Amino acid sequence: MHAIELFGTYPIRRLDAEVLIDAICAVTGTTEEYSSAIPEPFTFLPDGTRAISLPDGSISSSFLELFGRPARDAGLESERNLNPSGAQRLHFLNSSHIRAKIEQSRILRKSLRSADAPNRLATDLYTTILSRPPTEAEKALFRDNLTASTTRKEALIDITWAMFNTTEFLCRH
Amino acid sequence: MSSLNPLRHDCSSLPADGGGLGHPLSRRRALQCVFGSSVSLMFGSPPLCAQSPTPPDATTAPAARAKAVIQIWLWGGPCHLDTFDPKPAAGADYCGAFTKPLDTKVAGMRINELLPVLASQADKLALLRGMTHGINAHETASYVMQTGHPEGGRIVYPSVGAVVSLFKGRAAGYKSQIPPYIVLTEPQGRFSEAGFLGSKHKPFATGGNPAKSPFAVEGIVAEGISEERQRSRRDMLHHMDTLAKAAPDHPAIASMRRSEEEAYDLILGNGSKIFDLNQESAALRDQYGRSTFGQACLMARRLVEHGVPYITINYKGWDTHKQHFQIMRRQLPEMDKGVGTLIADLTSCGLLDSTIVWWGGEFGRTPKVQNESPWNGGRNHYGKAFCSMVAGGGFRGGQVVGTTDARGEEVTNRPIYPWDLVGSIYELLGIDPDASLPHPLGLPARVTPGKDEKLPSGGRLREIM
Repeated sequence: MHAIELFGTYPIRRLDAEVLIDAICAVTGTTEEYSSAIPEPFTFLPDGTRAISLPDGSISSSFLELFGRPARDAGLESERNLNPSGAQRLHFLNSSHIRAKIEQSRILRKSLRSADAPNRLATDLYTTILSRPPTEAEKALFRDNLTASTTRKEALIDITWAMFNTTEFLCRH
Repeated sequence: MSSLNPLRHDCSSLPADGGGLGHPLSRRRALQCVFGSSVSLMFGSPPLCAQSPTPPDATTAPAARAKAVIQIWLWGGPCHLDTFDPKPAAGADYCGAFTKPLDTKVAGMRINELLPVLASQADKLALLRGMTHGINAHETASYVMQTGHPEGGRIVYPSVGAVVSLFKGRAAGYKSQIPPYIVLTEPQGRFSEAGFLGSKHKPFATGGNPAKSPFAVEGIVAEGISEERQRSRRDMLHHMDTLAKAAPDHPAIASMRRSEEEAYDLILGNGSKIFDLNQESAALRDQYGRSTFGQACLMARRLVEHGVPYITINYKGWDTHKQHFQIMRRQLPEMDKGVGTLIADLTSCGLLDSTIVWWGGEFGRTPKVQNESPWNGGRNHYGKAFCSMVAGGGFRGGQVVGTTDARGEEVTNRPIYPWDLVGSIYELLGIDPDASLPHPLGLPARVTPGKDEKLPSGGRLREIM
């Protein structure tokens, strides 16, 4: 463990809550709504506001709280919680929030429209979501997965979902 | 008078205490050893500083009579005159159209005419007509009622649910995968349920609508995705997750994998079955009422059977500044069916003695109807005198505590402050109201305010305990 503490190896850690939601929004082309309910009348932040630019610790969302964004009461770095938990994984694996984002995403729309060869499609998806081109093995896997489901749309939704759930996406790498 | 006869059904259809759903304890111990920190629990995260996860020394705790609480939170504040403290003699300016309250099973106890099911269960209810705190603002009143602490000061106290989750949750031996503090179906949103206890004691809000089939519990039941597809997606994920395969023993990656396994246990395992209301008979579901609220009450009973210690049902729509009587005509019967059937059902399952049912909102509504424009027949917020109700769990039924004057505007006898009510609930649960809570910065915080804070108090509800 000594090497990790002294940054002898690359420290793999989960992305911060705000960075994670902003990444998902940027990749899928969707937005989150942030508002403050205290006091009335409510304050609504403009569409497309990024979570990292939220000015106030009290303006939050359930996603941000779940993934460890602190309320910024105490100004301690330890207030931010980067430990993974079952509830966080549950959210990514099965919540309607993430599911809606995938199904409304522009990547999905674009991939459904294009009649590209699977290799080209794989390269597009991997560069958009994981910021790197796929390896040959991954391209082969992609081709298999594309035909695995009943419809192409379902296959693409599942593949996109899987990519959002890989360790690579969730951690800095 | 014919009493409600809940249909017989098999209350033992669910395994009690999460039988077969709990993890083998060894996995948790293994986690503890690997990280040398507090247990990385299913729905939580280690506390901010290295606090021990075990609850404070409970040797001074009172003997527990109740094991669970179902909190029915009427968001917006229900009017006491229109529910449990009718004043038909005060004139139409005050009671509006509700001039003939119902006599109940209990001599002398009358409640609103639109609550017949509750009237038949009156021998189980304790009406707390002397509630008062004097706060007329939603957020402040919600905070005070839900935490049992006055507003102001440095500390953001946790709500009763979060305290129960601390003292009766995983650190105290609760073993099911279903979280110990559940909200049906959305969190209130205007106050932090967990307070300074942090995200570990936040409630799990199910989302979805229990009246719909399937009840799409957020993260556990995904509508339209069959179990087969869930499994095939999981397999696909494992094949595609190249980083996890490249360094499986790296601590960060290993802990993510463990969290994923926990999550899948809930998605694919038996945990989701508890949320399947189709397992109950259609006749019983009709008796509760096929509304979101009615089915949420049924869901709460199932969760209590399973062993969940704290369930909040957030019931929206009681902030009736306008169209008050129209809304009451619609909502009172719905509320009556749900709560009345819940109490009857808990009784027939033998659970009422160990389950506290706590009904109420953050305040009441003005006794004098506001007929002027723009309200045109509405009621404003009123925190000076209002009504709550408790049943079961060690509270004696068929009782009335506190009285208000002829118009319901002031408490004339036996005031009950939020800390009195909340402290009584803690006592029945076996939680010492003077115990200290673990504040992350080490500030002194107690479960209920102590005598040194010199707050006005009517004393705990000894009359009905």
